[in-house]
Amino acid sequence: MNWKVLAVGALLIIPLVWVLAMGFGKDPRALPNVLEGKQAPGFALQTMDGDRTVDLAELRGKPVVVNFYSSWCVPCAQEHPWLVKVAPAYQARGVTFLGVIYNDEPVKVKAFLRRYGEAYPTLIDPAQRTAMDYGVAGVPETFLIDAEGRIARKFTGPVVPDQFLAALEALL
Amino acid sequence: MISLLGRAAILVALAACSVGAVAGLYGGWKGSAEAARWSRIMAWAFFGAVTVATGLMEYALLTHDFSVHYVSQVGSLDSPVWVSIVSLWSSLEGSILFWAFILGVYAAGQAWWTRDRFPAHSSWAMGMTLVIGVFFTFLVAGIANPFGLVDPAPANGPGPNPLLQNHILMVVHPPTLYLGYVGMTVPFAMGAAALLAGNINPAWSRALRNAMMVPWGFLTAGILLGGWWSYDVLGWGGYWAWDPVENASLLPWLTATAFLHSAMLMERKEQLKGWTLTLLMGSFLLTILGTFMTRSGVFNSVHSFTQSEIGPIFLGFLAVGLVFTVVLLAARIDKLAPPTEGLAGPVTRDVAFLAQNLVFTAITFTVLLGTVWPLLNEAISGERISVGEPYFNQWAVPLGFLLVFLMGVGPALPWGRPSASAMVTRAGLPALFTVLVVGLLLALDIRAPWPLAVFGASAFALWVTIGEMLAPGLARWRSTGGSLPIALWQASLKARRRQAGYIVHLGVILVAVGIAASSGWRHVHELTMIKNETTSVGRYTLTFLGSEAVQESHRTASVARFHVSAGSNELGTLEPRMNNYPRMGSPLPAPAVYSGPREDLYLSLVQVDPRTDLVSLQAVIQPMVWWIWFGGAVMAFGTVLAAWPARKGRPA
Amino acid sequence: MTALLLLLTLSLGVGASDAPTPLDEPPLTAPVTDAAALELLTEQVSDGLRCPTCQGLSVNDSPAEGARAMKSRIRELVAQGYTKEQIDDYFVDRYGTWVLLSPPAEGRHWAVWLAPVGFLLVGGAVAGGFMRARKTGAGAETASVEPEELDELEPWRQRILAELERP
Repeated sequence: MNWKVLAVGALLIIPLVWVLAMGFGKDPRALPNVLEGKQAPGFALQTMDGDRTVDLAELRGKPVVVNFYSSWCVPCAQEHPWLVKVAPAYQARGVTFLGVIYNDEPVKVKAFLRRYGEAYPTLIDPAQRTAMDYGVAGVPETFLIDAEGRIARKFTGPVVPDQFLAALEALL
Repeated sequence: MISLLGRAAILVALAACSVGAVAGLYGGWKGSAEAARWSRIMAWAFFGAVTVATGLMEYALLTHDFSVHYVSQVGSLDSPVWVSIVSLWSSLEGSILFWAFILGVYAAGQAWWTRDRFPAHSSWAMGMTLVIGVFFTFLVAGIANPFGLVDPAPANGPGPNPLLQNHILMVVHPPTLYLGYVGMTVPFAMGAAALLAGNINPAWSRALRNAMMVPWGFLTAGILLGGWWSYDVLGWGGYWAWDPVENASLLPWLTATAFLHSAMLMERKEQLKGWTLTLLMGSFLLTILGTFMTRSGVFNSVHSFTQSEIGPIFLGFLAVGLVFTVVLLAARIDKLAPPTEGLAGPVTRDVAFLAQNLVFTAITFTVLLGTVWPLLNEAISGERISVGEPYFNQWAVPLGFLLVFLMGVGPALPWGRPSASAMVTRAGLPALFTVLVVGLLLALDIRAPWPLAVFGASAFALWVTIGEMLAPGLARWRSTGGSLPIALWQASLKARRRQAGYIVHLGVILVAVGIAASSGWRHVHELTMIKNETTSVGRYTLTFLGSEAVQESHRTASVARFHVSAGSNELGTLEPRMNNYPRMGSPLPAPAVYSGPREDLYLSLVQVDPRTDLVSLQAVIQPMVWWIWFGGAVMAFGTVLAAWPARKGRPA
Repeated sequence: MTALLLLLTLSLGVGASDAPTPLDEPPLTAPVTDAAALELLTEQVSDGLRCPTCQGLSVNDSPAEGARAMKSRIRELVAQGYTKEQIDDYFVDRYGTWVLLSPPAEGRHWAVWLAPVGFLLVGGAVAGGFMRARKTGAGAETASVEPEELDELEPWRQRILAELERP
């Protein structure tokens, strides 16, 4: 038995197998969540109809829900009707809901809203400036902003109903 | 019905493989020719059974039998016939079945090739190949069973992953890569046989190198076809992105190439036996690592399959394989016969071989480290990072240059210690040629240091390689006289393997030049055009003729049409498109390329809407991409020439 | 020690609750007006950043809509005079270190950048030692048999081996 070969082999095998085993159970596509707890980047965006501008700074004092979505995205279509359903009750309690278009055209989004319902304004984000400020890497992504203007929670992918409601209740 | 038959065939294959594996190992251990014969018969039975199973699956795919689990997952009535055929390797279960089938082909080939040769080793080797076969057939029989019954059968299925339907290369790229990956099993089994038997003679050394040549050739072709596919499909105008799965296919190629060279020292001087066997067996283990990377869902890649339970099983198999190899090497490395001849140093071909091995191993290490570093980093700190092109290029470029350099210097060096005058005659002319080429390039105002260095080294290697190819013929002509072409031809026939090796080197030179040029002078232009607008990109003139929506059986598409000319030269119409598949959220671009030896013009759509007259696109201009594919074809030709079985009769 | 300090600053950075925009700071250099210089700098920055919607492609390479938007944002920032470091920080603050296509050469990441050198050094030393241990004293070119001649001798060699191995 050549112990040198055995030792060098063990030195290679053990770390390699350990590292690969560590990878299980983690989604390699999940992005790190670096914005939670930080001040939400400001924006002032026009609504899709162009009739008014929504400025995040003016909404300070009450929670805000910002949902980035687009008409071509399948999970967006899954979560949208549910958001439309729960929004009115929270709007009555002072929460502002906002949709922001990601990489899409207003014509298509309007068709999407006719099909899946509409309960809050949708904003146009020219050149994806706001999406970039929020580190959006795909749609849908949903941000819960607290009364002090901090990002309390970020949902990547369709919102998980009970988690979303619990997080929102905590802000009220 | 097919579910039942398929499953039966797989169980027969599993039984044949198990019996054959035991028989082969027993035959090796006891030296029993009868057991060895049974092991070969079982290899044929294994081959027959997996062929039947694969045939049944293809039949089910073509007849859209959605009662078969796998067909219900990847089949679709809307798929064209070729898509139905390639669906076999479009998803996890089918691809493992396909893997088992190719292993069956190789096992049968091995049984035939070793049927009355290599008595000390062939039984061990057959047994080891079938041990690997047991693992894969076991997967097909159990966790990755594609033949499950779906009741009630759905009326239609979703079709395979759109990325795979997007290009005809999906017909050839995966099978080629699989033939490379799976083929590594045979040399691995033969290397293990050498260690199990505790000796390696020159005949077995040669057999090992021949056995590696076949999968090496397929792997080379598979990697290049993958680059071509990526170039033609992914729409970013590149052929290599240092994606984890691309890296996974490169790793065994690197060690296998190092093996093919160090094996020459093993054959010639019986040197480096332990090291050469390590490279050989490591190559197979790296293919298993690559399979793990592709299928475990642990790595993020365009090419990877979705997450499945198969990951931990592959990791377990990899761990067992690694431990087996290391223990076997440690137990037997000192028993292998000592070298018959020492190494010559310091400026000799021996040293060039060692240096080549060192550089190849260093690249392997770097690529492996870079690929697993994000995992390691996350395990240590929880922070997610990327390791991509800037890191890999930092090392691949200088080390790649070193390889091209060694490819020129190595053959120019003699096996023994050279005299100064011999060195001048061997290296003088190529050095002069190199100076001329580099001077010419400088005069043409080409100043980028790395591409220039690669061009210089390529020029040197080109001269040396052609010189080496002509040398035997010239020597023959000088001594016997007669016609020079006939002398060259006859000498080449005699030295087929040697000439073939140099042809592979010529292919590598072409590929190296293509890579250096295309990555050194890559230009990306972003354009937004309105209908009938004309604009110039590089030396081309581009006119946007308009776009239209197209309806096809399995997808819808928006096609934009561009007229292209260069100066007064009409180059025709390019039609990049945007394909929409029902299963895919965002559309997939399908670029259009005008390709030639000088440069490629590559158009990829960013946004197109046939209702408006606007299009935005990316135009990539890269010189000499074409050389990479052409060089790949030359390498493939050389490999076939080298691996083609000798015509002369076997000894009685 | 440096690594430790770095980790500390990194973790402090994550904990702070200020708005994550270094863009509140002024650009560190003068605005870039020359078109060629602007394009070159833009490419340099976008070559090092990862397109968030793709798989391991740089912002410069990717034809994806999101990457194009990022690139035009980068061009804007470069034009205003923001440096590569400032722009990298802007994106890292929103997407995490992940958005850098290769890890920054700092802290523990030095290991991955430098390991290949270490490998070459150790490997070279091992190979060198091996050469010395196995060297022949042959002074002139050894007249070894060329592989082709081996090819021709092979049947005979096989035959002899077969004879030898016969029990």
